[in-house]
Amino acid sequence: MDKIVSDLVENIPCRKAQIHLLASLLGEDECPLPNSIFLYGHSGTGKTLVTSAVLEKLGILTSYVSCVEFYTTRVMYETILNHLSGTVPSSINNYSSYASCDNIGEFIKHLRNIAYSKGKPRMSIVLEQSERLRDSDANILPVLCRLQELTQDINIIVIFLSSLPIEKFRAATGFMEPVVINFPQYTKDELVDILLKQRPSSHSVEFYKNYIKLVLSVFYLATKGLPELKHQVQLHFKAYCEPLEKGEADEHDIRLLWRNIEPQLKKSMSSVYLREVSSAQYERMQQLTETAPTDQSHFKSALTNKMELPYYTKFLLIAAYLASYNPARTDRRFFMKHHGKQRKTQAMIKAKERSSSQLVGPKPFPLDRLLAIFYSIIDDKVTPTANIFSQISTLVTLRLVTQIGGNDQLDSPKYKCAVTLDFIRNVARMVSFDVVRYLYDYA
Amino acid sequence: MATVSVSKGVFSFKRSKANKRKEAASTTLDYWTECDEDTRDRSYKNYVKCWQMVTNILHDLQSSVHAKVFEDLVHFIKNARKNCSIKASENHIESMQGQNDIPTACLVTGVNMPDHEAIFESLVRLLADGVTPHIAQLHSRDCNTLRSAMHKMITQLMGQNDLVDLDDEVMIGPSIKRRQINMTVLTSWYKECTDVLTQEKNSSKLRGSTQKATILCNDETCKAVTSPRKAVASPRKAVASPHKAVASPRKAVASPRKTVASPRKAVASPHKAVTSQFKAVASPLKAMASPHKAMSSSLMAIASPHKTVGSSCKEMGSPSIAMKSFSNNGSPQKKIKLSKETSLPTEDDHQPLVVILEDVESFPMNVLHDLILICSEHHCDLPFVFVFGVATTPAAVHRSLSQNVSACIAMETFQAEPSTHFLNHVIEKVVMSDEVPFHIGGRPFKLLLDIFLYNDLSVKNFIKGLKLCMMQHFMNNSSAFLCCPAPERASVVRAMTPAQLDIIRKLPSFRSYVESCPPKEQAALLLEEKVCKATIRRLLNKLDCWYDCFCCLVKVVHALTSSLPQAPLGRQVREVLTTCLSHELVETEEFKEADKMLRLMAREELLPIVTNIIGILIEWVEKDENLLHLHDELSLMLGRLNSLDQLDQVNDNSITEEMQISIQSSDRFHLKEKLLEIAKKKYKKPNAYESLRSEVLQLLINAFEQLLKPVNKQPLHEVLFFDSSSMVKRHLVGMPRAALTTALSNPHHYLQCECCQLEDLSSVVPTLPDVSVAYKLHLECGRLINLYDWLQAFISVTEPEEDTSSKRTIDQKLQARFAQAVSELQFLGFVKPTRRKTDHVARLTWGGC
Repeated sequence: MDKIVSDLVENIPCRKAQIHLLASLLGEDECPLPNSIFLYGHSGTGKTLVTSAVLEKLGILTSYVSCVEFYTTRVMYETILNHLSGTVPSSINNYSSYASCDNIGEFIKHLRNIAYSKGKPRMSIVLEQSERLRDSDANILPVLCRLQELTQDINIIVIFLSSLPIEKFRAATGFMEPVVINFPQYTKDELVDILLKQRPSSHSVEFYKNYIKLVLSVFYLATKGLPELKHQVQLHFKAYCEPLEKGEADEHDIRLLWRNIEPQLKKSMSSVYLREVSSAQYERMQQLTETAPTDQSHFKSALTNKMELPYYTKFLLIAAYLASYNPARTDRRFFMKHHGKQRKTQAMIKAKERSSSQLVGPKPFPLDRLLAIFYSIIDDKVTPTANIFSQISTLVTLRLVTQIGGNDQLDSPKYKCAVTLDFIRNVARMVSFDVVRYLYDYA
Repeated sequence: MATVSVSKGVFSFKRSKANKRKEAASTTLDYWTECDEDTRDRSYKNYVKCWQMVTNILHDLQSSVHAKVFEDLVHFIKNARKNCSIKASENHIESMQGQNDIPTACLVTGVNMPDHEAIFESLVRLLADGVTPHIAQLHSRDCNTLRSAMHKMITQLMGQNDLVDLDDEVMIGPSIKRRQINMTVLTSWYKECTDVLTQEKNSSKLRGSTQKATILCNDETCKAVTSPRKAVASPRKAVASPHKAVASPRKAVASPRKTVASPRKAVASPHKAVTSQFKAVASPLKAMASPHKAMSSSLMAIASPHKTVGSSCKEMGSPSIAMKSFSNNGSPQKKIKLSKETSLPTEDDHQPLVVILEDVESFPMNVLHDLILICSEHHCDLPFVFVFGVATTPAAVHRSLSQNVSACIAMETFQAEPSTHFLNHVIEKVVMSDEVPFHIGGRPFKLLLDIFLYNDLSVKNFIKGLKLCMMQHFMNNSSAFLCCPAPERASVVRAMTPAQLDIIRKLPSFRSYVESCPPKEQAALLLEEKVCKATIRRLLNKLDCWYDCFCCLVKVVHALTSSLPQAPLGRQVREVLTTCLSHELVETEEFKEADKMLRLMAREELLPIVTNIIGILIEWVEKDENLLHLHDELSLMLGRLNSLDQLDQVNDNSITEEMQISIQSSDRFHLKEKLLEIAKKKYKKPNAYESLRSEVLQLLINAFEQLLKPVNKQPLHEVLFFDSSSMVKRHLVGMPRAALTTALSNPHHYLQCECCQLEDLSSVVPTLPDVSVAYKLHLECGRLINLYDWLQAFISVTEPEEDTSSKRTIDQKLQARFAQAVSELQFLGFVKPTRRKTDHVARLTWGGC
């Protein structure tokens, strides 16, 4: 037992306590397993890694499943049964699973059958992303917590992996508290240790450590997720090594290397988590910057911000924005020629300050109001054709405007504009319309 | 179609499989409003021919316009998997993360929804042809829940329902019960697929070493292959043959999976019994309609030994022929596809699973999330590649995905050509084409362009409008029978009947042409058939030439004016074309403005423009002597422009000398006067360049004046040009509100009944429908309408005889009719109930009588 644990601890850094705890809970050989174990911690804190390693070392028959996949419980039951019984759906058995299984009763029955036919081995079910189980049938979580109880003499354990703490799982009835193990976030030093593990053999430890520290110093504030950091470390290493390959610097010249890499790192800060460009494309873009620095901004904006809308659609979108962000009572003031003079009172100014609609967000508006504003802001005479109406539904499908309730005219659907001020400003500029002048917050 | 059911439910009927096209054609012809049978047929035939030409052109365009981006995309998909593994090994960094990133192509398609279908259709065709047979095309309307999305994706990937041809649903791939489908099944299925491919490769590698074995095996396969061929001669027998694999159709479909294993075995161990081989060949034959990879590869596995030994190539060819003849019941396209599939290169044994999401924006977010998460979970076993069709911007995808999901995909953006670009091509190739006899006039063209630019940016709709124009032209224009491709024209003109000749003679443009002729010819034209026919032919040919020349000059005008500040004539060819089609260019305000600016142009600017114009003209020089003349003159002037350098300098010197002289005077007033004088002098005496410039411009303007006349000045333009926007507008631009008001205020317009005929539109007649009466009465009211008064008015209109004094008793029937009319008005959005006053409704529209 000790040997197993020490082996594991060596392979999986910074998770000593968790490995110890898990291994001792599971025990060796014929030990009875606990009912259920609950592991929680953010993604990339080693839950899956630790669990699978421990279970494998202890020789427990295991079924790993991810709960995202289970759009029906049936899929879950059958997948688990397949894993435990070793059935692989293939052309030979016409892609059928071990057994068709629709409810929890059958599931337990089949589990027992499998266990008996295999000579009652120690079995475990590992459920990843188990927070998803809360959305499926009501009784599943309690049943899974008590699976050992229900299957009577089978030595089986259910291990939940989740990124939410146990408090979010407790159900009203029949919930049995599992053993909880927490996987805390890695500290900065631990991250360095772990990232150091994937050091390429061509570079020395010291050099690579420096590199990791540099990357962490930039990204640590933005993200602490190991996967993302790994990605960034991988992405920039080549550029970091470039001066070395050119012979401009040696491994100890940290300052020079830093100066070389700093702008690139800062730039990619803005796109942490956004894998907008694959690494290959990223590299290509980098090359582009080197050759023509002015071109790059153009290239990027061409990639992200180009959207051509038909002429009337632009105005419809602007009208939708105005309808969303202006209070309906002010329409008179903005869109009528002779609205009469308005006296500013102290109370009004205060009221305006209190409710900045830009902060509150868009408000729903009816279709009639949208069209009224549309006809008043567009200069030329537009006949109300079916094309205009179809453009509104196009805007809805493009998610630039969202529809709230009501699928047909009778229900008088309401809409909300879902674009930002910057966006609408760009659109307005294209049709040379001064949108800010019509906005209540700015006018 | 009808049912015997008494319920009000909606019933769906399956389309009959009868030849739809023929049916449609005959019905369209029925609507052709033409008295003369012969003329009708003629113009219908012309229409079909014309449209066929246009479709051919469009088809070529469709594939070529996106060629570049598709090429990139296919390249990306092909290499997606490879890149992944190379990257991992290159950096020496063993990373699970890199493996979990699903390569994703983000295809930005633009906001023109109707066009997307065509884009993705051609993309799928391209991918299926060269990259991978495993393609799933998901559409947001089918994917409201994760379950349906997954089901759709997996079935399509496994090839359960044919993507290309939905009409005859051929099941390919294994048949799996709907509820069995999940990712595990997909994984194992894919593994088997790749296993077969690698096995096949290995076996072909082994072939050299185990020559003997293959020969041995070959003998057996020969038998195996020949026997099904016999069986094919009588396909019924083949199905009924005693081999067990035939049992049920369901099994037959599933059988390729089984056979997959057996040929492999056969190659490895040639001692296997002949029967097993036979089974292996026979069963794919049964499931032949399926173009499935694994199946065809099993055939190839059998066929390949023949090649090495070179024994009998015929034998090898025979199975594929047999396959074709056997699958005769399938569509011909499918057969071609099948043979293509067989010849697919199989060097890459990890064919990617391409999942195309046509409209990412409208997918429910949770479905998209889970779909991506699940796929990334299985990414190490299944090489997924996503293609996102994004209508807005790639940023929209990120905005809708949470960070842990968007970390699962590695996105690369591809920008499809904007639809305006496509439209330009369409205009260039179709509208300005010299092949298609039909041409569109200024007004309808402007209408179509307006719909495009103002409303939808959709080329598909533009083409639809064009088709409608064409249809209208051939349907309603009796002279359209002459509008045929130029080579046929002679025979058509020769075969003209006197009645048809009369139609042509009645055309206004022809009449004015006759009137402009000398009197002698006039009589001949009107009376003698032969002369008239010859003239018509000549005029039509001339019209063709004129249009070619016209299009060329439009391009010249565009080249000349597009670079001017603010581009008074527009920056696109299409804008110039609209102006030229309907107005005399030289007389338009815009051109005058452009002319003014051109006359101030510097030499450096003018030179490239003139060179450009010459470049345009040179293509047309052989066709028209006017253009030839223009081209020659312009080239001469270009030469002079180029050799101006020295002259210019001389002029400059003289001016500066003058300046120096003038500056001598010290008095301010004098100086000013002198400067003014110099300025005047300078104005009076243009230098060499300026005179040359005005010469060039004059030349061009003369040409424009002479050749760029609007269409309706040309004789016989009615035959080839369609120039009525109102007719098309009615069909293309729906106006629900206007239609509603017309229907209510003048029901006769739609009902075409005797009773509702009104002289004055505002008058109220009892024979009108109730809604119409109620509507007209409500127009007279203010913001709030008293229901009781309204009812009284309604009754007095509908039953004028009834005595108004007997107000107490209102006919129940009348009241019910009124209530219905009011609620219909409410439904149409004219009134709504209000709480402000009891027994009142609020009016929602303004204006009225």
